[in-house]
Amino acid sequence: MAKKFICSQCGQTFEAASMPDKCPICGADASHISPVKSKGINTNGNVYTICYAAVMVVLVAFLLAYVSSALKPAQDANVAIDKKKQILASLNVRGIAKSDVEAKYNELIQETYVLTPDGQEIEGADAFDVETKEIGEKFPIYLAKTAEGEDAYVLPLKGRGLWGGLWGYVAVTLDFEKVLGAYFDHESETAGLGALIKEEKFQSQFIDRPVMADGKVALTVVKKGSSEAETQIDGVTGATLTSKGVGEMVLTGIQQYVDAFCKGIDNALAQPQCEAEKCCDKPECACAGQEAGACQEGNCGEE
Amino acid sequence: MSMFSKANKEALTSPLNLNNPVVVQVLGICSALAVTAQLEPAIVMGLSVTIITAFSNLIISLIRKTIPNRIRIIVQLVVVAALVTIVSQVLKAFAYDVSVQLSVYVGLIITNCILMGRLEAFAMMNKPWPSFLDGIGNGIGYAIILIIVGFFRELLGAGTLLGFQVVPQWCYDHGYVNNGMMTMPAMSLILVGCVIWAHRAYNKDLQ
Repeated sequence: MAKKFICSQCGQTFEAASMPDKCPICGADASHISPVKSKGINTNGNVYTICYAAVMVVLVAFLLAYVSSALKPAQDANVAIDKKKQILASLNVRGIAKSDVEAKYNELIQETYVLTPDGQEIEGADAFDVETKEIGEKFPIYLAKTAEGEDAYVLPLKGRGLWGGLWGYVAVTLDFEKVLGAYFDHESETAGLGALIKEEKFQSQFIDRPVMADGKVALTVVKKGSSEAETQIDGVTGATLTSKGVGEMVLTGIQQYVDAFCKGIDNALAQPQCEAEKCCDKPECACAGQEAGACQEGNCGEE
Repeated sequence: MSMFSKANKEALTSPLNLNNPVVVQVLGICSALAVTAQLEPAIVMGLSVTIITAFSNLIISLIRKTIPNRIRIIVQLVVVAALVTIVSQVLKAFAYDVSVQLSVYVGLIITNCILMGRLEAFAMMNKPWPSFLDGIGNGIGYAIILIIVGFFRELLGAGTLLGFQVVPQWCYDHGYVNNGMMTMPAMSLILVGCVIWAHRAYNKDLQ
């Protein structure tokens, strides 16, 4: 049976019954001659390699695109349920089964609003559709009842921790006087240290604390053991920067909501204690410029 | 060759003990540190790696004769990456809490040395069925170590197992404290070290 051989000197192939001593075409000696595999194609050729890569990539791309689009609805539903679970945790509903989340959420959340930084309500917007990264440009607010049945506003917050983003939900009374519950979560804080802000033990410290002091939001987180006021909450030992991040997020975050609320004084939402503009500070006030004492509690005495 | 010939059995069982990928070959350590703070993610991670190793071994073994030698690592990576992406998507759709816990580590299975090691060392030169068994064996060998480490870290670090409280309140009342160190990644290195110690002490020929 004739076999195929290739000569590496002249590059020609030829047939012979057995390994020849020299190439019949160019005369090169046996060391240049090697047998050609009769079966299959050359898997080391350039054309083959490129075609192989191209076909493989296209096949895999279609497969992944199909899997991704087939599973998308289920994944989106999970993300939504997880967000609802977090909001419920701020209302002190914790450890709830996944299947009950939807019903509980619908039961407790009564209304949602989205405010602009000027305090104007965006018509027809659902606070739930506002993504965490948009907070600061939009202010989503949930009017809800806590597990104990008290009316509350749930304020979504975002901040920055040691390694990555933080976010949270704080439930406050309608006049922003008192915290009713809080939930915090993080992207990538240190497990066992910064990550403890996700635990109920840390979050439950916020319950019943006052939010405001001297007309401003004062609620914050301080180093463990150094809190001096009711509005200062103990941080996590060993996670100073994460605790600071939570404190900063709560302090500036809630203040932004108060500002937005007070600017939009004429919308129908209940108000936190805004500094009302006092009559005596306006030039057209009847008692402006008179001796001290004419102004009583911001208004001219005789009016 | 029968389905469970001696050679096939060897492919399946040797990674469980004498050729264990973690404690003998010392592969896949980084994910072993990262996901073992609790038992549940450790189990899911072990399961995911088992499935991915088994099927990537199977697929690579099936197409091993067609793979151009010069791009074989790329082909292996594409197969592994595609499988990992599918597993990660499935977890997100059906086990969302676990996928949040595992976060980036599922994606990092792609770079798990166990996978590439087995593909290069076994699947490229063996038939599909033994390759599949080898993948399952190595995945389970990896999972066993993860589960042992996860068991001790969760038990000693949080007093729970799979989220259930197992250390009774009585102990806490009498001054027992959870060891917070156990929740730190460094402790899993020490635990893996202890496992290797015990394993070598038992198997004299590995010393």
